[in-house]
Amino acid sequence: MKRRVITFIAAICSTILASQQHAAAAEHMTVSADSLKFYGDRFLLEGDGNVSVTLDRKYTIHGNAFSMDLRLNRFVVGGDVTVTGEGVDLHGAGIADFFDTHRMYFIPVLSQPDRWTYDGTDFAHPSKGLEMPGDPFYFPDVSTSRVTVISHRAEIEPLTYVEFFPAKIWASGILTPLPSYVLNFSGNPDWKQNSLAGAIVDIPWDFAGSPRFLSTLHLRYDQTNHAYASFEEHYVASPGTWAVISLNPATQVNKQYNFISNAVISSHLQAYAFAQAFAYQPGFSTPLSLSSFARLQLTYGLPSSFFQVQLNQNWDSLLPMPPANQQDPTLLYYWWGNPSHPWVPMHPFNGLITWQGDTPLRHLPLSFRLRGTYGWAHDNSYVYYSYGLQFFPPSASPSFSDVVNTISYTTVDALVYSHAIRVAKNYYFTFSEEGSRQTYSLPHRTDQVQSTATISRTYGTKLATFAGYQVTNIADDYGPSLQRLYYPETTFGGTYPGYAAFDGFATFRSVYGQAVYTPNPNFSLSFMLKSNNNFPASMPGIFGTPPTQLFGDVRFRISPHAMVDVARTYSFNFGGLTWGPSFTVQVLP
Amino acid sequence: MTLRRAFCAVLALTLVAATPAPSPTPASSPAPASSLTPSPSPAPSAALVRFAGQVLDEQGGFIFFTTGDGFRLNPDVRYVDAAGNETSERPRTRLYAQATFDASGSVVQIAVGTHPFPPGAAYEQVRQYAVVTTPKQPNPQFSHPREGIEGKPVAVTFTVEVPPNTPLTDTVYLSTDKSLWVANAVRMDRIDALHYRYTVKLNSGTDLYYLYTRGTWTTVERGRDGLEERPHHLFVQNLDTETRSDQVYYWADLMTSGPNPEATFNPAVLPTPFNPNPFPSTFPTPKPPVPTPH
Repeated sequence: MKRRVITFIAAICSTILASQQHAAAAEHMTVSADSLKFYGDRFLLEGDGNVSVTLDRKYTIHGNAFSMDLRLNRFVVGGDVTVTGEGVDLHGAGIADFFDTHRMYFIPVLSQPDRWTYDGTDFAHPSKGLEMPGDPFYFPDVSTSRVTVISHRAEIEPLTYVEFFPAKIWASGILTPLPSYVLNFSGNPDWKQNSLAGAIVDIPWDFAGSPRFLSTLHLRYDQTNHAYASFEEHYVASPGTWAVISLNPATQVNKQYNFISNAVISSHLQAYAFAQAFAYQPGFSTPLSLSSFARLQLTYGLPSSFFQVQLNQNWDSLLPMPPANQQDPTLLYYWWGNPSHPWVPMHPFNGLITWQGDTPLRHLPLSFRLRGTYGWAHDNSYVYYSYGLQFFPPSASPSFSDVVNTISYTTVDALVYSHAIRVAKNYYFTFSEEGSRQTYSLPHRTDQVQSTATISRTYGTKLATFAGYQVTNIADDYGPSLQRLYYPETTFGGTYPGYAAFDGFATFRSVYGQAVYTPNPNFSLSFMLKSNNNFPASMPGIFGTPPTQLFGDVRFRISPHAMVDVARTYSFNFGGLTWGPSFTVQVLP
Repeated sequence: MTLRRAFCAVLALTLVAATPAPSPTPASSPAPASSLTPSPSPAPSAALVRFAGQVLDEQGGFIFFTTGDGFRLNPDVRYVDAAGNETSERPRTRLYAQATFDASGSVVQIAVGTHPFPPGAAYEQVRQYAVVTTPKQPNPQFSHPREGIEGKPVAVTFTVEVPPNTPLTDTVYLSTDKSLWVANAVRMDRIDALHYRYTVKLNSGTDLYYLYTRGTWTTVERGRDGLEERPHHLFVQNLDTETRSDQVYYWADLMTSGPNPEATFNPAVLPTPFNPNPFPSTFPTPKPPVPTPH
């Protein structure tokens, strides 16, 4: 089966690489000037002195000043303008290229001025005297704008990216010189897909770009790996068809190789692939441990429902069996390098097919959702370790014959939920009721029922409050004769005597209250209080959530182009937790 | 000499007339407004007409403004600064100028400065002086449907209904092309269990593309058909306020509903055959433990 998963992922890669549905090729530009400045707050690129613009690598425009609005997708060159290349030699006062309308406007200076319009770069056939747009050669006033990049040369792919050579970046009051810098401003969000795990600090440097590729180096910091570097490569073939590979961290001994991709196969069918490999690997030598996980997901969309096939494959070790001299004397396990890198030959597989639909209930403010799943899981036994999916029946000293290698299961899930129902002026009520049953091929099933009700009130457009109640019941049911074998009485050393009554049937209750105050678009303050009452009770650091939590968030604008968002959580001394470990301060565009 | 001083005084008085700066170009309007500042303005004298604009170039005996119009320079044209004093500065790209025309349409004086000049005559009044070889012809391309867009600020309110399995403590964000698709760029405010709202001022004429997320690209919205959504599009009309209501049917990480929807995605999350115990790490598990070194 692992070969099938790998084959599938390879097929997706082929689909992505073969995808050539890219929009009509835009004109590539190269711009150089004595001074080339990028104003990040307005997406303006301004050049002065000895301006040179090369279009499509065929025509060169010289002038005294250059201005390009990267978002409006047009540029202007003014002052003693010449256009040369492939049989073209023009002289004028200014030229403007409006890429979106595929028109160039030119003011030639012959014996006297004129107005010429070109269809793209068809310089041989000007439309003379044709009316031009209003103020087509306007240079924006940038005296109050922020310079974020200073350079001398830039490669531009209209509506996609600009790459500066070299670049001095203004960030946080520091001017950082770099050999190159890419700013990708594409309207396609696929460029922002990422495969890196979270970090406390992440400083990306997009150092190389092309119409389809973007290479990024990250300098990062987190509490586990401390300071390290990572590498990420993006590939975008067409809207919805993309791939990302990364190595994160790249400079630590514990490395993580990532691959994520999505492919639009047809208007109804999409494929998503995800693969990760974890390596203990000094430098780029042969790893001492290497585990991996791969997922392939195919989704077929219907008007109000979808089918989804998902295949998951784990490899706890992709390395070959170690030699005999790296074997435990008791023959219980092997290792690579030293015993802290055990060789684990486990490779469980899980495949499932799901159908899920959503439909409104006619004449009612309700919708209904139904899901059905059939799944199949397999893990080989291994003679030394008795791997497999689980022991059945459970035992303190299970025998090899108790190992279960294959389990199939079905899941049925039904959900009824309301949209916001107006119960009085400014009061809205919502509720949802959901039940699911997962039945295994063993005598085992899991039932879950969740009920949620909320009521909210708005006070104009500035203040909104809501309160909610949610109760979830979970039953992990092995039947009367086996239940206590799986859930034996325990009080965790007497610390939690209530657990003696717990036998796999749990109830979680939560009450929420929230107020959001937004007096204007530049300021927002919100508080949420959540109270949990669970059976079995929460145990700090082991199980469950704090009984009471307070979430606070304040946002305010510090400049026309930046907001600060500060968020914190308070846990009322649950297990010594007071203020949450995360203190989020974000400066957002 | 006296006449010259009087002329300068008149010119200076004209220049100090308070005028607004040219309005900024709307973020995505099809064409910027003319940088030639229009009326109202003091009526020009019969002999002298003035208007101000941004300079594109001066060459070949002509001064060109960024409208694309070229005006013939009088051989004795004078160059003055914003205060009306003689200057060696010549009109060049990015500078602003106020041109004074004589009755024949020649430019007899140019005031040059780094800031916009007060308006003079209406553009239509001086357009007749523009020198062109080919008579102007109408351009059929300009009969586009976005005429009348002024670029005025419009309060746009986004309201989204989220799926019922959205965790009540989660936050919903707007990710837009204008914020370079940062997944958590714009935090929305909750107004009830299923609705979030955000209001922002955008200039009319703005094209905005956006998607809803829960803060990352792995939690982006999915369509009712379970497929990856392409960005929503909003074109801001010339209104005082505009509202946009959307519905998110699924989140990419919570595609399948259920109290534990991740179970079908992540074998480590409850409850799947990989981990049939729905209370992980807490209670005796029937799964054989992975051996650890002695």
